[in-house]
Order: sequence, then C-alpha cells, then structure tokens
Amino acid sequence: MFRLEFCLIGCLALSVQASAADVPTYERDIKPIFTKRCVVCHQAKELRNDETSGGLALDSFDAAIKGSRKHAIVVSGKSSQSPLFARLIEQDEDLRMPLSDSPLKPEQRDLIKRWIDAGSPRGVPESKPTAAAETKSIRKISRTLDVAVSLPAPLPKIGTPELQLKVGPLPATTSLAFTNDGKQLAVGTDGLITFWDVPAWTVSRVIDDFPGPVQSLTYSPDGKLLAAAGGLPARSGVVRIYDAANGRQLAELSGHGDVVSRVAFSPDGKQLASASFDTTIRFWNLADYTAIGTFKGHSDFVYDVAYLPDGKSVLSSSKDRTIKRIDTKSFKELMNYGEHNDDVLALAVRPNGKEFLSTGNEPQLHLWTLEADKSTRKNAGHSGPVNQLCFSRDGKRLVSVSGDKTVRLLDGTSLNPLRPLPGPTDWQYAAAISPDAKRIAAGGADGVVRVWDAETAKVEVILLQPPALKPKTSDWLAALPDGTLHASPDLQRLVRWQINGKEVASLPVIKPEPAKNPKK
Amino acid sequence: MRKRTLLAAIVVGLIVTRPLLAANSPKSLEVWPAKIALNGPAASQRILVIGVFADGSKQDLTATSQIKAAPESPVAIDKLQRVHPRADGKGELIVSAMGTTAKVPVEVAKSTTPRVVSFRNEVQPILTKLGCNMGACHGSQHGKGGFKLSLLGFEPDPDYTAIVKSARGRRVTPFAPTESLLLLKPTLAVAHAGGKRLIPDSAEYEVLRLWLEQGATTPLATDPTVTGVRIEPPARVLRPGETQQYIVTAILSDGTLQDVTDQARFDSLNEGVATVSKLGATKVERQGETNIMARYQGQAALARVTVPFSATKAFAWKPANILDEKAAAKWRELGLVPSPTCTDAEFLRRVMLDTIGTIPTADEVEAFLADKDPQKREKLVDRVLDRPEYVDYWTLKWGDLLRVNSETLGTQGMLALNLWLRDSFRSNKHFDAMIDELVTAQGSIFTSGPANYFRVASNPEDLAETTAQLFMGVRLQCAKCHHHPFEAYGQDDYYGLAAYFARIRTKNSDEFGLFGQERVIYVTSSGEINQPRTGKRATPRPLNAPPADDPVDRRRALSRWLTTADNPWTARNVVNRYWGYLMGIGLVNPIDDLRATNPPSNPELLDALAQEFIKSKYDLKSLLRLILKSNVYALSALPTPDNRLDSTFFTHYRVKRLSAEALLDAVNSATGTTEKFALRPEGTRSISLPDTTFKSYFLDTFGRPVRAIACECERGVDPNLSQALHLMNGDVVQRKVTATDGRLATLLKDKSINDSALVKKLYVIVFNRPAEPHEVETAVKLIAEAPNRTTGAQDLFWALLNSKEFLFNH
Repeated sequence: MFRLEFCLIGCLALSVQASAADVPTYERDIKPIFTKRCVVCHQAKELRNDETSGGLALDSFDAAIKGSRKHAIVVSGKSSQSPLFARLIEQDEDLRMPLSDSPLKPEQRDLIKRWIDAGSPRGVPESKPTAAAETKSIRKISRTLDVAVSLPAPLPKIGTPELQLKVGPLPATTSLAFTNDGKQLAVGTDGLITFWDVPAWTVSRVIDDFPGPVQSLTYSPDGKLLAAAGGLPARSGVVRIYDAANGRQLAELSGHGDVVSRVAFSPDGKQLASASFDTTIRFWNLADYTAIGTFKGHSDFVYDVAYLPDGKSVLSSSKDRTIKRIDTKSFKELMNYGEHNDDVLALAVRPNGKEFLSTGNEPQLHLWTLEADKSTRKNAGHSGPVNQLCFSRDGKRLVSVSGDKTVRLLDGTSLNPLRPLPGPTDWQYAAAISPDAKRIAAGGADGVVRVWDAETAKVEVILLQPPALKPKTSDWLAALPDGTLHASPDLQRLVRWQINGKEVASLPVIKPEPAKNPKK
Repeated sequence: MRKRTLLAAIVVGLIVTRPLLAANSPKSLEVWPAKIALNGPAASQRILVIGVFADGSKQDLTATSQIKAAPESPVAIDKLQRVHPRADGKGELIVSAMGTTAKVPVEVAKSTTPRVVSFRNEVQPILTKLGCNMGACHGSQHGKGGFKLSLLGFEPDPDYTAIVKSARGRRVTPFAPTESLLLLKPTLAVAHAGGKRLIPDSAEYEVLRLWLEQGATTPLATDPTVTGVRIEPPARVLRPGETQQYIVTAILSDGTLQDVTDQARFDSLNEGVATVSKLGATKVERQGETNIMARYQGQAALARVTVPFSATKAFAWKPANILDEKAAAKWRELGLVPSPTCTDAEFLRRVMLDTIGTIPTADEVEAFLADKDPQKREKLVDRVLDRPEYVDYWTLKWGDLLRVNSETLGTQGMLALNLWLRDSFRSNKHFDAMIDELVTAQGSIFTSGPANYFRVASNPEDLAETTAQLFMGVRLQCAKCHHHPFEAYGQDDYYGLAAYFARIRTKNSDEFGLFGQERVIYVTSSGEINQPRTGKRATPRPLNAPPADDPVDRRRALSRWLTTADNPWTARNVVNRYWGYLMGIGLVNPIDDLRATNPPSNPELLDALAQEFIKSKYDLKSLLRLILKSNVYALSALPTPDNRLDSTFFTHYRVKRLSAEALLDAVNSATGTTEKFALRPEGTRSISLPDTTFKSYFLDTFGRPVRAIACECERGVDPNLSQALHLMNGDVVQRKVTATDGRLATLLKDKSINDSALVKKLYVIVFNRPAEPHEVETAVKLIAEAPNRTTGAQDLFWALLNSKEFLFNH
C-alpha cells in the first residue's frame, strides 16, 4: 500500500514537472468551462435556491473552492476524491453533471482532473473588459396580429363597433397608478411606463427603458416620487425611483434575484418596501437609497406588500399561502396569518389601519383584524384568482381584479358589490382608483386598459400602449365610447373599424392628433 | 445523425451475416403506412419499409430505402425521407429498397390553410415528451419552483393558465416569444433546476416559439382530441440483434390522422427481450416475446415483438381440449417444445394442492398409483372437486379477496360473509350469481353475508375501486386524482363508477340484533357524488360503456352490466386469476391487473378460456375442470433443453411454494399432529379458518395476509429467510417431528417396520411418491450411523420436511 502511494506521488510529481508550464488554472482554463456549462445554475445568485444550485456556486474561485453547504467539492491534489470530478464522470444520468444535458467533453474533464491534481491553482484573474455602455432596451414590435377591442356603447340597430389594429399581441398591463393630484395615469407594461393626461387622454410622457415587465407603480405620499418595480423573470428584480415631476430616474435599487412584484412607500415617505418573487422583502432607506434590511421568512413568491398607516409594520402575502406582519425596524416577523389554502396574491389595508383584506387563488375575500389569527369574515365574489385589491383613499370603495376576467367595485365598508364594471375579456392583473375615487382603471393580460366612471360604471376610455412600431417613437391610442380616437400618428394609420365582422370605412369620427411625440 | 448512421451500420451488418438475402432482392416491400394522408400545412409523415424475402423472412429496410414522389404528386420528400405537403390533391410515392420498388398512394388536404399551433394537440404533447409535467417535476402535487402542471398533461385548461396567465404572466412574452421563460428555462439560458430539456431551434422549440408568436392561443373546446393511437408495424418476428423502427399515428376526433412518432413515448414491456429508443427504434436482446408500447395524449397502443427460441421443432402433442390447442399454437410460433407429462404421483399431489390445498395421504398415493384405469387422472379431478375441502380452500381464497375479517366486520359480520362464501362454493353457485348477490346486497350484516361487502368498503370511492379490482381486474385507484399514463381511465370514469354506490346507507342500532350493534345496509332514492375537479354531478356509467341506470337501485344496472356475456372484463378477470392460481402465473400478470397496456402472454388462450367460462354460464368448477384436465396443466415441472429459457409460455409446470395454510396442514398431515386455534376445536385445518385473525406465527411467516386490501399481492408467496429458519430451527417442526403420539413415534413403535420400510413410508408420507432405491439406501445408512434409531429417523424426517420437494408444489 505504502509503495503504491509513493509511486503515485512520484508519477504525479513527474507529470507535473514535465508540463509545469501547462498547469491548468481556475481563471484561465477552468472558469471558461464552468461559465459555459455549469454557472447557469451554480452561481452565487442562485445559492439561496437549493433546488437549482444545490448550494454550490462555481462562478468565482473562492466559491468553487469553498464548495457546497455540506462539503468541499475539490480535494486539492486528489481528483479521485473530489466530488466535483466524480459528478462529471458519473454513469447515472440522474446524478451526472451537467444535469439532463450532454456530459463535458473528455478533454474538458481531463483539464479539470489535471487542475485538481495540480492542487487547484487559481492563476491570474483576467482583467475585466470595461463594461459596455448599457443599451436602452427599446421594445419594438416584431409581429402584427390583430388586436380587437369592442367599444362599450353599441350603436342602436347597427351593432357594436369593433376597433381593429394590427399591432398585437400586446404586452400585458401589469401595473397602474394615478398621481396624487389625479391628473395623470401611469400604465406599466413590458419595458414601458406610459403617462396619460387625465381627462384629455393623451400621452404626455413615456419611459421605455425599464428592464422587463413593470409589475408595480406607486407614488410617494407627498407625490414627488414614483417607484416602479419589476425585472426579468427568474433573473433579476429592480426598483427604480423617478422624479414624478419630470420622469428623471433618481435611483435604481438592485439586489433582488427575481421580479419585484410590489413596492410600497412608508406613510412618512422615508422607507420603501419591495416584495419579490425571489421570496424576500427588502427595505430601503429613501434618504440615500440604501438597502437597510431583508425579510426572508416567506418560502415562496411574495406577491404583495403594504404598510400599515402607523408605518411600524408591513403586511406581506405570498404563494406560500401565508400573510405575515413584519416590523419595519427590526425586519422580524411579528405575526403569521395562516388560513388560506392556496396562493395569497393580494392584500389591502383599510385606511383605519385596524383591518385588512386578503385574497388570491381562492377568490374569497378574507377580512382580518390585525391581532386575530383567523379572519372575521369571508366574502365570495370572483370565480378566478384575484390579482390586486385597492381601497380608495377614504376607504369607501374597493376594487378587485381577477383571472375570471372581471373587475369588481365593492363598498369598502360593507364589502357588498356596488356595480359591475363592464368590458374586460381577458385576465385582469392591475387596478387603480383615482384620489377622488371617481375613476377606476384596470388592465390585464391583453394589454388593454379601461377607465370607468365609478358612479355610472360607464367606460370613460380605452387605452392601448403597444411597443413602438418604429424605433425611437412611442405608440399609444385612446378610444372614447363615442368613437373618438386619440392616437400616435403611426397607429392612426392602422386603425380599422368593424361592425358585425364587416369592415366599415368611416363610421366613427377620428379626431386627428397634432403630430407631436411625447417627451421621454 | 450519428444514430442514423449507426442504424444503417447495423442493417448493413445484418445483411452481411445473411449473404443469401443480400444477394437477392426482396420479393416485395411492405410499406407503413400503406396509405398516406396529410392534413394541414404542417403535416409530415415518416415511412417504414420492410422487405419481404422469398423465404418468407422480413427485414427492416427503412434506413437503406429511397422515397420519391411520383411526378405530379402533391408532396415533397425531405432529407430525412419524410413526406410533406406541397399542394392539395392525390398522388403516389415510389419506394425502393435493394432493387425492389413499391407504390404508396398519398393524399393531401388543407395544405394551404394557415397553420395555427394548437395548445392541446401540439404544445401539450411536447411538454409531456420533454418530461416537464412528470411526477418528479412540474407535474408533482405542488409543482416545482412555483410552476405547476397537470400530471402528464391530461388537463389542458389549468396548464394553459399556469403557463400563460399565472404569476402575472411571467412565463410568456408573446410579443417577444424567444424572451419567454417557457423557452429560456428548458434551454438553460436561465438557471433551471430540471436541467436542459429543450434544444434551441429544435423542432419542439420551433413549435413552442410559433405558438407564442401566434399569441399563445388557448385550448378550445372544439379542438379535435386524440381518440386513439396506432403503432406500426403491429407485429414482427425478429431475431436477437435485429432492429425495427416504429411509427405512431394519432387518430383524431375529426377523423384525421397525424404522424406523432416524434412526440410519442415508447416503452418495451419486457426489456429483457427487446429495448426501444426514445425515437422508436427497437433492438432485440434475446428470445421471448414482448410488446412495444407507444403512448401519446393519454392513449396507448402495442406492437408485438416475437423472438423465436429456435427454429420450429416438431413435437408430439395431443390436445385434450382447446386450451392445449392454443398453448401449442404459441409454442410453435416461438419454436418452443413442451416438457413431457408429469408422473402420476406428481399429478395427484399437484391436483390436490391446487384445488383443495391438501396433500394426499399415503393410502391415497398408493391407491392412485395402483389404479390401472387410463381415465384415472380425469376421474381424480372430478373426485377432488367434490371433496369438502374444496369449500374450505376456495372460501379461504375468496375470503382474502373480499377481505373477510372480524376486525372490520365484527365477528358476526365476518361469519355471515364467510358462511355465504362456504355456501356458495358448496352449492357451486355460478360466479355471475355471486357477483349479483354481492353488488346488490342489502339488509342486516348479521343475517345477509353479502351485505358486509358494503362494510369492507363503505364509501362510494372505495366501493368503486374494490368492485373494479375484484370483478374487472382493473386498478382504478390512480384515476381518482389523475389520468394514469398506462390506463385508459380518468376522473370521469372513476366517479361514473362511484356514482353506482352513492345511494347506499347504513342504519346503526345498539339494541338491535343478537348481540346488539347490528347494522342494516339499505338503498335510498337520492344521493349523488360529484366529480371533484369539475364539480359536476357524476352520471352512473360503467367503464368504457354508455351510462346505465336503474329506477329502483342503481347497483342493479351495474350488476347487469358486470354479468352480461359480452362484458369485456368479468370473465377474463376470473379465468386469468384461476389460471394463475393453478399455473403459477397468469396469462396477464399481475393477475389482477387487466388493461390494454398489459397484454396477455397468449391472448388466444385467454380468449378461449374466457369464452368457455361464459359458455358454462360462469361455472367455477367447470373452469377448474377445464384447466385441470388439459395436458398443459399436466406437464412436468422439469424444463428440457428446448424450453429451459421459457418462463412465460407454460412449456413446463411452474413450481410454487405451498401457501401458508396448505403448508401448515401438510406438515400436520405428514407428522400426524394437529393444530389448536383459539375458539376452534383441536385439529381444525388452517384452510378452514374463517378469517386471518387466528394467532399463528407459522401462518404469518409464510405470508398469510391481513386482508386489508383487495389485491392478490397482499398474500406473500415468495420464499424468504425467516421461513427457512422457522422450518429448520423453529420449534414447530421440531415439536411435530418428535411428538410422542405423532406419525414417526407410531411408526417407530411398530416392530414390523424395519429401516428400509420406514424410509419408504416416510417418503410416501412427505413427498407423496415412492422412494427411489438409491434414496432408500442413503437414508437407511443415515439411520444406521445415527447414535440411535430414533434420532436417525427424526433427522431423516426433519430433512425431508425441510426439502424443497415438500415445500413446493411441482
């Protein structure tokens, strides 16, 4: 036994000596292999996601040497004892890495073997090339399917005029917000925030470089800041803070590993909470835009977050079927509300701060008092998942939007339905109530936004904001029930009307819009 | 591409080893499909070419064949030899291989209709093929990574919602398809715990991309559904090493056909005989028979692969009845030769164990061997079936299946059901009457035995499962929650059957009945069960049959359906079980798992058996008689060189361990001792115990079931170490061998019996056959060399009782 080991060491020494100049190093030889074949799952960002990374990151030398949470994967000098190498040459396809993919090439495996046997040296890190200037991701439509929207007021004895535009499929409407003075409506879609003037229904500004779908839009209590949140699904989550007056970006709050689903300002405007599909809630100091705390108590997507009026705690709801109350100083869990049997997609706090509502894949509304561990009431209503709830400022009205393709307007106190809001034909994701509670906006999977008069339940306007047909332009269209249109020049040319499936040339009045492009 | 070359190489290799074939062109070509119908712009069709040679042999020539479109034909052929539409119309393909050509008609329709990718019929099958919705991944109960699909993709609507709408639509970006998580994750452009599943720009990727680009269209109620699949060629005789490619065609509800070879999943039902690749190419490993199963969208089809054991050999065979004819037909197909018939002693022991769970006594052995009547075996069968132990033994067997157990039924209920079974077997009640009495039973559980059927399983779901399992041999449990991939049934079928039992109620009474606690099973005129997923009320409907109801008692409609002559399950289920009890394995195995994807090893034999059983009006004794009087039953258990590799086709009798009760009784019979069970008289046979709660370590060790589930598998039949140790070292055998009033003690006391006579006697008692001279010689020597005669004789007796010849039925 002794002799054998001696021989092995001797041979090894010889071979190392023979190709001393050619000892593989992590930075030069191994990292490129890892980057290409392993790092998509085994990266620092995925560490929290055990099922994907197994708690192992290979995207830096230190992480690779540190190994997984349980053990080292590299036993320097001994490839045969290194789990890393064992998993590369494993015969069982359910265990071999890369998982469900072709194995590494023999020469790559050999390189890794030699690197481990040579003591797994790091080598010299390559100098990083200077980061290329971030290109603005202007969404450009690549295909033109028909988008058809029926006007809410059918013409007597003739039929319902249907607006047709070859601009689809439209990105979903994922967020909506009225400014605090009610003079603007911000609409978030994929990569785009469109600001509509109310009640002229023309576009005064667009922000078109948002990375991924805008999942949440909210104005600060003083109305000076706009927070927009979203990100690239399964990759990154981002919150951007804009100056509400001019649309200038003030800060980007990064760190979330998946899309940010909702952001909320604290009542004093000094703190921001962001809930994310990465299962965490992060807290930010708005004085200097720094991260001040992370809550990791949820075990699945966090869908919603809201501050209580005293600002001392937030409520969060999650796919893990729980609602939690979290202290906004210690970022610790204060209370767990576990009654739902399915994903809790939305919650809303009554302005009195004593009660809140929750709902989700099971569409009943659960009404809770803050201190109770069971809801005091359950109200049936929607027949599909409820995606967002919002109270009017005075708490007298409540809007809920659902996967059952309806928007419901309820009495905020009694929770009785007030009147149906007609029109939607697809899943509804987002809603907003104007500060005076007179207007309700909602939108969803088909990208169409509808604004209703809360008193009459009549559609005031239908808004479309497709990705630009041409680079560096913005497209938008507002259709009024009387057939009046406002639209960007490119879209005006594409508008067709149909009644009962037949194209009509000139029925509705098309009000031409002065050929101006909104400010960016 | 590498695989294709490899395939070609194998085919070439075969040609080289068969020079005769290589030199000769095939006599004709067999082309699958025989007629090609392309429907829609995206249709394509693979072609299989099999050469038929002058000697009748066939060979897969697909890899070396050329396919051309005849002039004016509305199709184009691509590099992979697949046929695509060019325009609507009719034409011909010219297929040639090794100098022989064949023509195949082709018809194209709807080639210019714009293509719309169907979620139901194109996207969903891809997700299934890629494994996205399998049980370990997104198909698991709670999904994976927040994304849940229906298990194996049987529910398009919730799956569509999960992909397109849920989690605020994060998984798709229809206006920029390639940025969709649906494509980024499985191609590993973004971290994916499930690893790489999809190759960018592959055919599957393109379909998903196109579907997204078209706006991710929803599944529609009007989408055609897959009503069946076809796998071709349906049957092939192959040799070890040979390969065959398969094609799979889906039959849609709108009457169109679709080549789904690329989307189907393939399995070989016996991988020892032949394996099959993901792409549907099978390779033969060794002799035997297997089926290649192709599954697509909840439908399955089988193609039989027969690999003969040797060139067909002639053998002498006089069929005693139709079973012998069908068994022999299969042997000839496979080049198998049956073993010779067994000895008279073997036959006697075998028949008695198989029908009455009893070994013959020494007198019975000697009388049977001395009998010169050429009909003595047939007469023995008739005689044995009339013995009282027949009632004990089959009551025991069915007691297992019906779960006759005092712990669930109470002592009175258990006895009522037990006595009903005893009565049924004593009077040879026909099986359809037994089913009817059980399924439609009402009344007191104390006085009506069958009423206890509704106590063993008491809710509609359990009753549906039990009824399907017992009388149809159908395992319905999976269908309670999801469509099982190997089964034809889903939740609608499950709850359709459960609806028959939705109106059963139980009246409880503390005072009523002999000892109180009497219960009465009765039927109400209302009560429904809902299909939980749809929430819709389930209509009473038997499996694979139109709804059937009865104005008085729903169960009567079910009973009528179960016992009609053309019921596809009842007869086959019973005859397969009985064949399995007698022959060691069923024609279908497990013997209570009949389904389209688990074909019988000899379908014609099973059909014949079922037909005979129906003809006899479900007479169980005549079923037993038919099998017991066949020559295939009487074959020796010793294999010959011509059938030693066979374990499936009944060319030799399959040895099986004695069941727990039969073994304990056999030990008692041999050692001249008795058993005492609680509350039963001394000497009660274990096969006559009314349930399995009577304490006995011996019976439990040898696999006596608790009677908790309606599955044949609950009774342990496999030998294990604790059994061996219990026999060798346990006190039971030791006590019985040395019992002072036992068999051996009595024989030893008889001074007229010398060592040689003692040995011969022991052999007949234990092995139920005369001892061979060399056995006598060895045994006498053993006794002589022992410290004393008693010890020597006890050692011998112990050794015989521990030998396989005693422990097994052979």
